[in-house]
Amino acid sequence: MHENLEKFLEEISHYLVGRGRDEILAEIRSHILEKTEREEGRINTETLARTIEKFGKPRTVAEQYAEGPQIIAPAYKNYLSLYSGILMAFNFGLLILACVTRSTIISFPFVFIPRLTPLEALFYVPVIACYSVGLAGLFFYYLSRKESHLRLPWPAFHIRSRMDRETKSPRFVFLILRLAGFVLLNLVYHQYHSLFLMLINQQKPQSLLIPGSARFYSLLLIIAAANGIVLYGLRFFIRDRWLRPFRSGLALLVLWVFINQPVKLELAAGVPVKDLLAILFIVSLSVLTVTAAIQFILSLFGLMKRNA
Amino acid sequence: MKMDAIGFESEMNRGFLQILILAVLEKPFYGYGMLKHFEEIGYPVEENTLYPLLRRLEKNGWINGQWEVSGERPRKVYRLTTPGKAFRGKLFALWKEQNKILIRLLEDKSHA
Repeated sequence: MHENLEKFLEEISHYLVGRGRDEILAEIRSHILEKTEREEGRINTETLARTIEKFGKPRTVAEQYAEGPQIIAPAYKNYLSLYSGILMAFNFGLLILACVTRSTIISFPFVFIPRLTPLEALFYVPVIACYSVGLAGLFFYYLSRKESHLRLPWPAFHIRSRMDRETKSPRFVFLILRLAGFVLLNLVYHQYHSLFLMLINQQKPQSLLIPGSARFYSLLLIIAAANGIVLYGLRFFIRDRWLRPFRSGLALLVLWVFINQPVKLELAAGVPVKDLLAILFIVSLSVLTVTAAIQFILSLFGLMKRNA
Repeated sequence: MKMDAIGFESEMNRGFLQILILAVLEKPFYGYGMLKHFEEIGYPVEENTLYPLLRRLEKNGWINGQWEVSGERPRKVYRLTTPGKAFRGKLFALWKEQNKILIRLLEDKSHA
């Protein structure tokens, strides 16, 4: 029994997977002993140590034997990142919903989200990220082991036809940024019950509008933002030429609601420079409406050009 | 870039070594003996490369390894199997064909 040799073999065994581990170790043992005897003249701790050092690091040695299917087949690696992202976005949406509605959400087998305060929800985000990657990883591990040729849905943006090149590909980072902005909107609304805030003399932010107006128009903005995210997310899956005009049309619709004021836009008591704010509001609304209208018309022109 | 070249070279060597193992196993060999033999014929191979390859060839049924305990210590001795012989024949034919193409290509280039 040679302690350093056995220790080396034991270390290799930690990295070896699959059947035949004992046989691999037995062959390495036999080789090291023979090599030491023939090249060093005798077998002892020092001579063995020299042969072991030349043999290589345990992990490197074991990796040479690694074969067969990988934990996640290379073919599924792109799918893993995409599906993890989708699952993460879905669970993220549930987290926001749980936070806004102040309720517990159980979505078997996806996730359990307890009733959380906005601050607690922020700490829950890493949990959701790990959970989503883990669940998608398990799924693809199972598929890799099964070695079946399952055809999974894949967004159409990888088939880059001429039409696809004309529209920009959506980027996952922008989707995450939009989601982050959406969370921020929700957190602000949750905290102040309004998205239209003002700071007077560095005190706590106050709503610019009376409670009824603030609630209606804040929720309208939140819905518009949610729509934007859903439509942007859809672009990962659908390359439909109608998507752009639909998005611009929806933006126009939201602005139309603002302009028509089904709930009266009324400034809260104590708001200074009311006239100036009213002018600012009209100017902003006009600029936004004109921009959305131009976008809508351009997207319709684009649509007609493609049909021609 | 350098890493790519090294990876490419080791990939080629691995393929060549598989043919070489099948070629030398005309007579039985054990791992260390095979390494020494490769050294003698001018193609030194690292033990870390040889043993996993032997295992792979054994798994495919082209060679067969059996432990012999007659000497001072147990040794795994490898022999070519019948499917291994057939596979070796195919590999040699393929290699000859590829070699012919490459030589022809190089000759054409030198004449051009």
